[in-house]
Amino acid sequence: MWSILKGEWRKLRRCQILLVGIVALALCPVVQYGSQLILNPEMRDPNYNFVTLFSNVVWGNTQMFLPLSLVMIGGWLIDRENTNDTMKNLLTVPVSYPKLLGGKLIVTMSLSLLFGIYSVAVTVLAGWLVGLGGFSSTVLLQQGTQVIAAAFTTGLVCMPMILIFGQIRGAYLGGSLLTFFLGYCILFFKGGFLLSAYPFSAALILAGFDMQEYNGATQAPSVLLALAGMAAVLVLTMAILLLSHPSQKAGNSKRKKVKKGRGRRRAR
Amino acid sequence: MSDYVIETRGLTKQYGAQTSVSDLSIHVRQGRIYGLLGRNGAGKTTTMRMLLGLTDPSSGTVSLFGKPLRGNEKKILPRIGSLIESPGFYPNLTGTENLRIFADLRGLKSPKYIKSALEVVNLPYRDKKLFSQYSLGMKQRLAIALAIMHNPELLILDEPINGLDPIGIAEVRDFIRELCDATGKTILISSHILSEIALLADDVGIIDHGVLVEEESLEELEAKNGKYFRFTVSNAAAAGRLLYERLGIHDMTVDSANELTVRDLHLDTAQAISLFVGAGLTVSDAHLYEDTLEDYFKKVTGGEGIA
Repeated sequence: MWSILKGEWRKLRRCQILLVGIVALALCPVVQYGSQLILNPEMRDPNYNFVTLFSNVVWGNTQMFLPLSLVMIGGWLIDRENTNDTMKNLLTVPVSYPKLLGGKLIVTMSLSLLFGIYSVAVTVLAGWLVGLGGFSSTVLLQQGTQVIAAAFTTGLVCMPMILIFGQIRGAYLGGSLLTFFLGYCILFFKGGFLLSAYPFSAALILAGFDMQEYNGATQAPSVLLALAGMAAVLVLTMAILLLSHPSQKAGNSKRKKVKKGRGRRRAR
Repeated sequence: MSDYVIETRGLTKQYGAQTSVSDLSIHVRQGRIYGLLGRNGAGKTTTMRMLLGLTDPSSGTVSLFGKPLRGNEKKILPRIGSLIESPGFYPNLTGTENLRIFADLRGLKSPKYIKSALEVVNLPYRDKKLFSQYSLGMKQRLAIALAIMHNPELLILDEPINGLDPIGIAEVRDFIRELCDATGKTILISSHILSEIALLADDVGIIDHGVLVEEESLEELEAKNGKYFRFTVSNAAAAGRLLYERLGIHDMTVDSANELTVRDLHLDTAQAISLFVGAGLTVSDAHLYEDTLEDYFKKVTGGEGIA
């Protein structure tokens, strides 16, 4: 497994698709702060500070930016083995297919952590550039930890989508859009079972995010239900992993050629 | 234990109603180069994919090194190096970086494996050029380097000279021959280029429309190939009569007024020519002809020849 992980990291060298995450997470604090600015002055939060920005970033990351980026990157990591015709080389080593997928998930989860750290950095930079107050080492530690934890739990929630859409050739872009939509849906669950058990809500709750203050939740969320929601995601991920098997077309480049003819873009 | 490194029994692959490979039984002997010859779409690649477990057969069995492939993949596959269809690598990495990934997966810690594999195919070690910038020939060479990097006992090479220039083709041919002769490796090579198989293979399997129509050693095939004498004389019928009456030759045909074909190889041509000249016939040509592998291919596939 170690050699699979090492290989997966090596494969990321010079990968332009990582820019999707880098750009998206840089946009998050800008968009969140910008949305304050476009409100009528009387609607704006007069006490908007670093803590508010961090909370907005946690919300924005989980609702939009991370689901979109992680499913796109994770799905592409799987998809590229078919489009680059490398699956046949891996399977004849032989590398176990579920282990290979597992390695890709671990790398994607590591990326979610790195994106979390990066998100903290760009949030601090953005807040400093616009002159927000309320920054301290305690705020950085508490809020920064929450950003990173939420990035990780959001990554966990994205795993089934990565596995499903990564294995359907060329579908990872569609999968990332669908996941973006699913992430966006947390906006609608303000009470009841789904407030806690809906996986994206669970990701926030388990990261210690205050759903009542920032989501306008009408009741306190249940950590137990959130754990159950996350456990369901992990069970589903494991089931997909174990049931996955390589396409019989692995290494068959004929279909790739057809797609190329349609002018399909391929990330490098 | 079986004498064969590769043995298939009744191997069949169907895609829906279409049969890609039908009841294929091939036998590859140790230390030999087996050439699988067939037109494009004859089923060569599908066969090789089934040999590597990349495609499940619809029916039939594959045995490698005397063991069934199914259930023994972890033991068998590391003993094989393969090149199937087009070279598949990561375009954002250099050749060396690509090989390093597979070297790690195969547990090859020392860089010497990568270095020597690249050396064999004349590619530079630690070159900065990315795989996406490689020419087709360089990509093919890298794929061969990947196949041989771990020093496998068996090589399965699907059209390995695709994309190579004439010098590259000759180099790869010599290299494959040397691998077999010097290190005793067994090599299964497929091609639609008949001359390559004729130059390289010890044993030949001819596959047509998914069916193995012939499997022989090259010597046996050559022996099977028709040999005959052809004379161009002023009167073929008279020449034929002379051969029959004076030399007792029966197996011959008068092709035209001036052409006579003799299939009895015991004929002493010098004696025949002096006989013709003595009888006042003019002899303008006398040749021993031999059918080529292409002629044989046409004969057994019942169709046109290939490149």
